[in-house]
Amino acid sequence: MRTPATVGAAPLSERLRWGARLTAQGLRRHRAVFWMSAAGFACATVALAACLALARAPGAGVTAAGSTQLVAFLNDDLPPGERDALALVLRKLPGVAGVRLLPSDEALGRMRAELGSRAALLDGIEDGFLPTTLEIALRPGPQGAGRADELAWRLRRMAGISDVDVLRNEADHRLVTEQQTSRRLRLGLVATSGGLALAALLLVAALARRRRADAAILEGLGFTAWAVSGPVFVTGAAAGAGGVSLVLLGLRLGERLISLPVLAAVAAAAGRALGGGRGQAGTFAAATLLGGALAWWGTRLPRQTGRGDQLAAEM
Amino acid sequence: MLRLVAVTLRLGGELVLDALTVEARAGEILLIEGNRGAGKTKLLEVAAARRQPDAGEVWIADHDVTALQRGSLPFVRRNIGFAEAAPRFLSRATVLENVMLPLAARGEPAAWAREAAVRALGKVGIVGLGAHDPARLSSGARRLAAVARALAGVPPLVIVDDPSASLSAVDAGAVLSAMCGAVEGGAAVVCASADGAFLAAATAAGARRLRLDAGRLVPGVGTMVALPGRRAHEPRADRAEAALDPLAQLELGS
Repeated sequence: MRTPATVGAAPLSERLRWGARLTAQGLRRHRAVFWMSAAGFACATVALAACLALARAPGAGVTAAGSTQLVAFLNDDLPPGERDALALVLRKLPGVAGVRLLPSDEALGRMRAELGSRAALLDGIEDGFLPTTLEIALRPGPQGAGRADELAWRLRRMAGISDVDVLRNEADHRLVTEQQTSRRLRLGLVATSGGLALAALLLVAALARRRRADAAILEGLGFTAWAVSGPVFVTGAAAGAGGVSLVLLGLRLGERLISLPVLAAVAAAAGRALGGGRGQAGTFAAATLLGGALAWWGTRLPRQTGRGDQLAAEM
Repeated sequence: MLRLVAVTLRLGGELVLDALTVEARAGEILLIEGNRGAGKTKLLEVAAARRQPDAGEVWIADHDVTALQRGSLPFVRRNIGFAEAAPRFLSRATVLENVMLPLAARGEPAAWAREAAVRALGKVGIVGLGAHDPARLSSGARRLAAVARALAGVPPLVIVDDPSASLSAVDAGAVLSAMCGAVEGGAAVVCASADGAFLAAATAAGARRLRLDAGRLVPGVGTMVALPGRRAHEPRADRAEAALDPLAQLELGS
């Protein structure tokens, strides 16, 4: 038996050995937590890659090229002075190339011209049959044609305007539809990522309690703060690195092995979205650090004081 | 080894420890007895550097713990084997791994730590439970494991709160015997108990007794029991076991 003697700091080699041993123990003891954390990081990486891939997809940043026009139908009882004032306001809106007031008689004349030989159908119709309209030409680009639907929605709510039509050519119409679909997909992915992040936070909060209990025991036995949080940090970092590695490996294999061209293209796009080799290394490093920091944070939260668990919190 | 000087502790405005001065020397068992609420547990928590007193000094191995910074406390705690009244263990780790932890904190080589942990488990008679999860043990077995963890590697100061709680007479005898073994190795042992049988057995084994009442030491209680042919404070493991062994008591009675 050894004679009792006080000990101070342990030799570095022994500290490292025990650190490795406690880390391995921690991985074994909390393996379900480890795999759940890794899965959380994997899901978050997939969501991030998908968002980036959609944002960088061809056409994602392109807006309607031109010839987009809004036609605002004015109320019959709108005084001419207010029509002009309204046109003046609309001209000042960003993205508006020009506004032209089309009186009722001119609209009827245009309709006659378009009908050609069948213009006789309009014989006997009064001059005020068609409403006075404002033809609003929008500039190409995100502030103009890209905001056509939003502008139309706003104009419909303005006093003096009974309705608004959006006129686009076929190509622009298809482009807008694709953009809307892409936006919905992105929103869906962001919501999914947010949900996953919330679930991960709840998981971390639940784990923090257990980690705090473990930390309280170890600190009570004489482990330093570094000795307590070091293995926890390494475990969390391993979960982050493991989750991202699984995704990157999956993307590489998917690109090469999946026979369906669509899926292979998606895998390739997601891989590229993460920024190629350098970007993927950055993602890997970020997930490793984040995993470690989250796990470490779990041990550092203020503890409840209780019997035998004072740990000199007041000191 | 341990010296508390005029230690005062207040909790929620209530005076729990009132200017207590207590000393435990290396090679002796100091028993703190008292009724529930007397302040025994709080006194042990202060002595184990788990709680900061409002006033007074706590000297452990010639270091005033109250003057240390928080970052230095682990270096004090790793020299104290502390068995709490409600012991807590790392979940999903075996009893043996838990008992090895204080030795890990001290940076002992793993092989030696394992050997010392097995020896400590053997002293309290639960070496067969080394591979079990503490969460699945009975409260008595958990208490024995906590005592084994406090005694593992024989730290210079061992503090045990309510050592005989939920233990049979035989197990309590094993605990007392293990404590006596630590004292024979040169450690100072401080334990608090309200168990009359355990106090009597420990006293018979040479422990010094102090009585605590409402945070104050009761005057006149605290004499050392002199055993024939031994130092006043020197405990005897064989007598401790005999005192708590029901069979031995039957033989003595007959």
